[in-house]
Amino acid sequence: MGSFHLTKMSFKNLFSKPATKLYPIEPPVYTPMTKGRVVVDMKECTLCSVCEKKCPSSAITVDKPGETWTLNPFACVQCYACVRVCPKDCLTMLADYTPSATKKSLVIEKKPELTPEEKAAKEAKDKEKAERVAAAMAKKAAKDAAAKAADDTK
Amino acid sequence: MDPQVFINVKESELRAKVEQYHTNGWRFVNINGSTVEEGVEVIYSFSKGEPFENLRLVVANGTHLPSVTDLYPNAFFFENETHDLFGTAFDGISIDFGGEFYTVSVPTPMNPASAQAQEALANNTYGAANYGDCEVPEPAAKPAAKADTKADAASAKTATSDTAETTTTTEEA
Amino acid sequence: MGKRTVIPFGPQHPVLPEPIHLDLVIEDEKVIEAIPQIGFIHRGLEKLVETRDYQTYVNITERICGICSFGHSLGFSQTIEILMGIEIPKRAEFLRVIWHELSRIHSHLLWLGLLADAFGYENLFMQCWRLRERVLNIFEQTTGGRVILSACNVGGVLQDISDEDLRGIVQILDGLRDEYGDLLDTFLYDRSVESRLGGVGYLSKQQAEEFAIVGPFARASGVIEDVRMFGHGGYGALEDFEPVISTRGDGYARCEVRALEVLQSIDIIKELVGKMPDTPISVAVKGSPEAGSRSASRVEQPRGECYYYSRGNGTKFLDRFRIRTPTAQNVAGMVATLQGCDLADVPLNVLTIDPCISCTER
Repeated sequence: MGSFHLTKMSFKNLFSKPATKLYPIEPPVYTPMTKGRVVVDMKECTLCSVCEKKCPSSAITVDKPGETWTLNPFACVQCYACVRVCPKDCLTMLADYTPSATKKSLVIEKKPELTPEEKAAKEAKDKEKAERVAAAMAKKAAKDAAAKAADDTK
Repeated sequence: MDPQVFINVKESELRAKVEQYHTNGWRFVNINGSTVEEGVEVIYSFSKGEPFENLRLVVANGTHLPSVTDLYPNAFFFENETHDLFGTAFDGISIDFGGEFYTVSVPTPMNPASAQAQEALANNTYGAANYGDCEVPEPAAKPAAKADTKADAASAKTATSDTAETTTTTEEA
Repeated sequence: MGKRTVIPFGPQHPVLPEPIHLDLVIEDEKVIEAIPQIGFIHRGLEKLVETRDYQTYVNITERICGICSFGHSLGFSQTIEILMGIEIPKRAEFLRVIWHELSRIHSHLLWLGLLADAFGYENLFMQCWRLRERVLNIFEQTTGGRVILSACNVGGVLQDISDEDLRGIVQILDGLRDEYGDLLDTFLYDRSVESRLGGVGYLSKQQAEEFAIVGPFARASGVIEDVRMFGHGGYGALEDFEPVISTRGDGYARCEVRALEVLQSIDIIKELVGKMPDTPISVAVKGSPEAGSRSASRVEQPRGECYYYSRGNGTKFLDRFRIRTPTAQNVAGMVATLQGCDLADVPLNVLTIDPCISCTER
């Protein structure tokens, strides 16, 4: 029984530095895992919209024809589901918070224009794919014709 | 893992079974409702240390069940909640809020087929705009005479086309 | 017989962490009757189960309450795992228990601070919350969130804690225990605390059993009831577990039980870190619950026993998910403690059941 059990602790606190931080003048200390806001790398994004399906608060909208990926940062609850489920690993969760604003806005990211080399590379790849498909179709047609001829002679 | 014991009971045997649990010293755990096709499925749960049993009964919409608040006083919370969300009434609750326990904007939100919800739908009082003293906004006024506006639009178009022609002619010139 | 007046208490009151309304019928400063009313924070979260599939719904169960956040995601995952017959790896069970016990430490430190604030000892309130910051920093380092952890899902846990980090956590908790010793002395032995809390809101063991109350509120009246005794999940690996019981039955006993449970949780975490197995942290969950299946389970949250019931219907959306929180059970007990008490003791009595109304009214 008695009083003044906190004397030792209060005395120590008098002479040590404060337990609070002068935020926002002092920057906050984040950990590598802190969940703040989501950013996307549009070069890798294939607009598959799996992140849109998994988001519990419907904060992401993916527009495949328009090639845009839209995030509503004020609806995001930082649950990390989109980052975890992206098949191309193009989403990252940064540690700092979405800054306060006077009105809500969307973050709209568009797929970047391809550089001339990339465009040429893409065209070459598409052409090669078309040639491969045509060769395979021709081979199949020849095989069918041979089978049909065999049936006729029988 | 908790033992999973679900016992189906009929409405007539419910009161006797609850009294049996009470005499044997079982502690009351929960009453909850959920919507099924035939009406409402009400589950009563009791436990005594590790053994843990659930009674399950299915009642049609609009049934009145006997209250167990005389045996277990804290059941009033769950009986009021089940009444508000699912529409199953309990007779003789010790503190009866009469449907105002949770102030929900539509009657029995988790059970749209209940008697209260059906009545509200019939009277056209179902829906957030019709609950309380909210103002329902008037629909926007229709355009007065459609022909006038169309004529106006046509005349405006000819006017612009005239001006366009004149501009082109001036440009050419 | 004096004149009776009705005084409304709440929903806004400095001592309440969440809104609850009581109509107090008073006669000459003594409360004759108290009629509770809730419904100020009902968000209809149980109806969202119809539009969010069972894996996404974990994020919603976490957000039912800020203090018992991990407990609800743990209970949900446990219930769905029983529903679908999934068995999770041992390391996941141990990690869940570690996070849950850390959650209990932070919840009890929060409550002790609020209690100190309620009887006017603000310095003690600030010291309790200063120690609580260390637990929140542990949460941020291991999961990325201070209050809402997003660490549990159906099939295991989502992040791992390395063995080195676990030893670091034990070190932080040992440091916390040393500083907590002073606060514990104040709560248990200080004269002003004893005279303010002693004899306030007395509930005998028989009344406690009649009102079916749970958690530290019941253990302070001598009722031996704790879901952790049954050894489900990671709790089965503990050598022996004895719940902290007191027989005084008043506000001082409830404070004592919660203050000693903090030390017990630190011991549990140390024991489990010493026995941590080396297995994967989750299993892949495919498919949906079968039609007509149902399951029920219980978790000992910081406030008491929490009951979960789920029912599947063959699709990835559950038919029904029900959460019965400990405060819902304790409301009747709280009303019983209020009968016959002084008006000045009403805030203290309401606070000693550790009300978490936002859990209660999902």
